[in-house]
Amino acid sequence: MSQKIFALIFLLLLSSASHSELVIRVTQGNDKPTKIAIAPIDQSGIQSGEDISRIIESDLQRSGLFKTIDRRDMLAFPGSAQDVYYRDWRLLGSEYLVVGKLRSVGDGRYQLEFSLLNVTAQKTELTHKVNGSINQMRDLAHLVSDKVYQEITGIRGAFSTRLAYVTAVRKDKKYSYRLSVADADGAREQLVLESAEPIMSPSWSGDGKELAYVSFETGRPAIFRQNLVTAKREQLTNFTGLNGAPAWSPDGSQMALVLSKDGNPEIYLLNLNSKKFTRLTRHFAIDTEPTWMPDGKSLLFTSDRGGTPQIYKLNIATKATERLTFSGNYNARPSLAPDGRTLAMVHRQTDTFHIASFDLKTGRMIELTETRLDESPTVAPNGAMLMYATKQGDRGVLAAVSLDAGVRYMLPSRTGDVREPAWSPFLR
Amino acid sequence: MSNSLSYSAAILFSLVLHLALVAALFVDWQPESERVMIQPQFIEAKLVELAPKKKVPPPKAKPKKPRVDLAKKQREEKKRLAKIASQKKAAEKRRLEEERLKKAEEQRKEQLRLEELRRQEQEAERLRKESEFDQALAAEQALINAREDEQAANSYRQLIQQRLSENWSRPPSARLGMETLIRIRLVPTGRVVGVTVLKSSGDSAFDRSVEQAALKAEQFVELQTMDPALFERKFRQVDVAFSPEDLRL
Repeated sequence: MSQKIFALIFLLLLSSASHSELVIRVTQGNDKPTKIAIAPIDQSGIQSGEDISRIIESDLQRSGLFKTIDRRDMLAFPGSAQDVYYRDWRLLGSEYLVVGKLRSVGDGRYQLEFSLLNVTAQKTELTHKVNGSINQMRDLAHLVSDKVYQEITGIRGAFSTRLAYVTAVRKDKKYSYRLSVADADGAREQLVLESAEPIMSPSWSGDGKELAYVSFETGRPAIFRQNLVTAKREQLTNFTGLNGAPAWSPDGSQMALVLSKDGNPEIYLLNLNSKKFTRLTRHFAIDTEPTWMPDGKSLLFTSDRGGTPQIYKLNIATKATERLTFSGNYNARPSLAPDGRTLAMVHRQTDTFHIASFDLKTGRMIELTETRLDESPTVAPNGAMLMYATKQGDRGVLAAVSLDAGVRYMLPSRTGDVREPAWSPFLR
Repeated sequence: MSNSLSYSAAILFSLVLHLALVAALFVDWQPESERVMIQPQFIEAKLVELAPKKKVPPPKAKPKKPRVDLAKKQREEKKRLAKIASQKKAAEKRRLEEERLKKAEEQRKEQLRLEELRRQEQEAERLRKESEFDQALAAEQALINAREDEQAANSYRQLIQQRLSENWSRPPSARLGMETLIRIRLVPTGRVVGVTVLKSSGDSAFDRSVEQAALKAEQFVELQTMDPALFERKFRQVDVAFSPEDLRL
């Protein structure tokens, strides 16, 4: 009998032992930037004026999720996976390696074949070919960055996206306003519109081919849409009072905007095909800054109907509104991340304006920036970063911060005051 | 977190011990000492009735005596009778004495027998106790060994867990609730010779971050100090579940 009991205990012990043996649980990590080496792309004498590898390096580095290996430390510059001695790269502490080759395929077209190699596991993760003209070397580089970023981070890369923003340049005591579009890294700036009167609130169409904005060029605010390729413009509103804050619906068929033609600022819906306006809000308080939920069925907007500016949600079909933010005495300029859950906004707890992220599901508010006078947040289409306008000295500049506040960087400063950035959707 | 984890084996152990105790109570486990039946060694003994050896002398036929000297005769007779009586008395006394002696002897023997019996019983008891003690000791030792094994294994596991945790850099696609289970194959030098995903999280970037964490660990040099038997039993293959609990989302 006693033997049996002991045997039983022993068995139990053994089984418990083998159970805990089954699985070691790792519940915490040590998130560090992934070390990656971008071997100089073999450009075989093609003179493009761009260093593709450097562009990839700065893309990845800027995301805050990667740390690149200095080119001067590299022992070899392999152009393809076959030429790689993994040991060399492992010695440099590199976890991944990008190798690539650019070659001409005729008709002024070029092909960049690249591979992402996993140095730790000693295997090729992906190989791709991208094509472009001699003027598209930056695009090719951003495409490589996108692919690498997505493969390693699990999130779609947004390096091939663009930014729209307004610059105010003071010339001879007079301001000149410019609406410009540039690559997400600030390069290749293109002028969209220049005016002596203010330009405000640029907003991208869902396909990234058009911009809507407010221009005072007619002497009072009016909303325009403009095709970025053909430069074709169309004035959409010409009401007395406020015409502002255009926001393109996700499917591109409608635009939410703010008009004060009926007395005080209210949210309206403009059908872009029929040009019909539908009034959505009816309140004596100010309702403004509409932004679309990803499903296109409801809008978020700012209203001071509760005494202080706060973010509300409006169901377009039922016109029912619901207050979302309660923390702080000022919450405005909502910009929604593509997950439909994380909301970036200008937030003031007591006396300073910051950019904060707000989790619509948990109601948690996190301040992302510590500087003063941060405004106009716009979330990247992959939801990883957001761009906002801030002050450097007395000049307005653009800065970016990751939505977990772990990474921040400033965009190269330009002449004049830069304000009101708008991050484009994915462009292809 | 990792602390509470390290206690889990100990807590589990004590839990199991308690459960076993309760189980023992339920099955009405009684110390075996009461059940072991030692057959007493019986000794065949007969109570012997000691018959008196000398019967009372048969009554003598009274010789007819000439009544010559009646008084004398009477005196003689008296004497004779007294003599007989005293003889009788002595015989009786002797008999009683003999009987007493016999009884005493008997008693002594019985006592000896009982003593012997008791001694044997005690010896048997001693032996029985000894063997039971040995058994308990052996079981106890086995328990201790298992526990020490388990303790050693746990400290190595903790080391592995720590190293993996340090090496684990999660991608931004990582979310609370994701879990990837991998099997790490090791050789006695502590070197990682293989990593396979047993259960994917469904997110390839997350899975890869887990594989990378194991591959980056490269070698757990500390495993070289491990008892080889323990290594063979528990560390040739180590299964590790990666599941973040320190993320915001």
